[in-house]
Amino acid sequence: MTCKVLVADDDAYITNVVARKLQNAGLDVIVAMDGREAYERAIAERPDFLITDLQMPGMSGLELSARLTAELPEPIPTILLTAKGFEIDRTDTDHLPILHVMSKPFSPRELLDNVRGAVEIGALS
Amino acid sequence: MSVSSTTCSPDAVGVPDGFADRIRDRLGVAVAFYRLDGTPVAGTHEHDRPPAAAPSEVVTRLVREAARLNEDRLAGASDGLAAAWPIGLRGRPRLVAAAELTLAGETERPMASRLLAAVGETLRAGVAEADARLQCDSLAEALSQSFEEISLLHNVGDMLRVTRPVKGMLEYVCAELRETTGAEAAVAYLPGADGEAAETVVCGCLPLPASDLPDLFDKLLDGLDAEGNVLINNHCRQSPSLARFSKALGRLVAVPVALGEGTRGAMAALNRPGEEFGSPDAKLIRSSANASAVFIENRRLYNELHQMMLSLVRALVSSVDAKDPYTCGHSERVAITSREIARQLPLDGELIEQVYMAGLLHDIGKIGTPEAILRKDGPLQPEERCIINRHTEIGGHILSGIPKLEPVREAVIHHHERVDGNGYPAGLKGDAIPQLARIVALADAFDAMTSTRPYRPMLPLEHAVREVQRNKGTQFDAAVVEAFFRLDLNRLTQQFAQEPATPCVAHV
Repeated sequence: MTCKVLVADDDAYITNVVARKLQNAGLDVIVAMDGREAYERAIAERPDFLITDLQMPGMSGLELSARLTAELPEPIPTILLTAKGFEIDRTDTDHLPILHVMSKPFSPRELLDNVRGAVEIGALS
Repeated sequence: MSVSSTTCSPDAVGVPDGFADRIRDRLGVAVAFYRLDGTPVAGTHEHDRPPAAAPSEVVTRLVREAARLNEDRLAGASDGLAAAWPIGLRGRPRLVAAAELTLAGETERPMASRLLAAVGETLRAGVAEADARLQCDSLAEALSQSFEEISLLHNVGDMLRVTRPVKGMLEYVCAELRETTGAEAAVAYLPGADGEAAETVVCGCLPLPASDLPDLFDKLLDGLDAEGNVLINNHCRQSPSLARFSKALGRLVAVPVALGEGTRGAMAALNRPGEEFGSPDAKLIRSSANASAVFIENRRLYNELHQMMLSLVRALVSSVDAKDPYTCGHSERVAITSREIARQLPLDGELIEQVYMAGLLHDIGKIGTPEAILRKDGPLQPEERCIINRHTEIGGHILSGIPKLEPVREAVIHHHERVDGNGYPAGLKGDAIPQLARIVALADAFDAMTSTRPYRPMLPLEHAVREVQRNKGTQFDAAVVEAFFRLDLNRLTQQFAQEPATPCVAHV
């Protein structure tokens, strides 16, 4: 079974770069351009993994993760992307399935490694 | 820049997937594709296959004309209408699409003409879309690479702030360089100073034996004479100076790492299958090499200053030892024993350094104790004991005003405290005594027992060990005693007996 990853960011250049990197690695990618679209597509398509921007129109990445965690039977492991220097309060993320917080500009390779690592751990457990 | 071929047919001539399919579905026209020489092209989809029948004479002619003139061609016959459209990405014709319609009568001609015009429009739109997608892909690829490079430079910059060993830093830089450039191996080479062995850090799969590296880098450094220059060689096999390595090396980028005092190392990326090295690779390696050079130089200066400080401390300590022949080497032994205990506990690196320093300086206050009392043979009077005991606080005074040594100063003041609260100068109990002081207290007492004193000869090791055990939890901190007993005490005392840790100041 291939791994389905939802990539949510309102910056097309980010979704483009990330989607391309993941697709080249053989992952299935769904792209959403804002928080609301991401929420709807996640509910409809149940991705295995979520990569989301923190600040998006419609719904923030944290709110997106919180709502999905509350509404779906299984939490979706998530990587949160932030603009560099944007500090995140760990108390906001502790109860969410957020595995990594990566600040922009991030290394797409490291992002892919993080996704792969998480997917492999998930496959084992 | 490699461009993904996922949106093109395997022929890479630019037939977008399912193109003919779409036109057939939408307009009901069968389109075939030809190379510029007129031979048919196979697409990836079922319906993109070349027509089973050979193209008609008129189609063949139109395809040739369209290819030669790079413009759309339309030709009518009595019973049909044919068109050919040169298509290609970025305005360069790579192939020709052609379609032929059969007319049942002259009345169908205007309709057929409009249909072919629509096919032409659809083709153009499709090509523009494929073109845009290709450009988008190549931009995403370029952006992705830029992100990697920026991340690398950020990370290398972050590494420089951390006090870490040079080797660890170089390993990190090489690993990142290899990943980011896609080279087979990234190597850092630092020639040893004064005949020391060179240090090499390799990441990835080295295409040649590691023993060849010094020779290779000597040759590369010969070609890197100017400051900050870069060597990009995509044809190593044709370079006479690299002939020896011609089997292993195809391409490389090398930059010098200036190490100060004229010595130079180098950093290189070796071999990259499929793509030549270029200036973006070279710039990235140069930035990393320059950052590494600064880091290495800073480490060297830091070590030099640190050594100088230790020498100054030892000089200070030896002035105490000079007053009291019996304490000769005592401070250094206490320092070493304290450090060993700290490693056993274990404490982290900085605390280990500090406890060593505290051991060296613990008796520095004895500079203020009269020699007559220090050198007195036989038991001390209570008032003399009182004067000697003041050395803890005098030591504290001497070391005040050195913020970096504050933990050391505390240990010096409190190294005669006992965990039961019966020590001096403050009578602190248990954990209220600074940890470094608890360590130095044990190391000090142990060395006093195992070395000769004015008022008694040296005690055998077993006796000293028994004393320490007996006073565990009253005089000495229990955890410190346990760490101490994990040490190889025989080895430690023998080491002290064989070579005095510091040359003693002569007592003439």
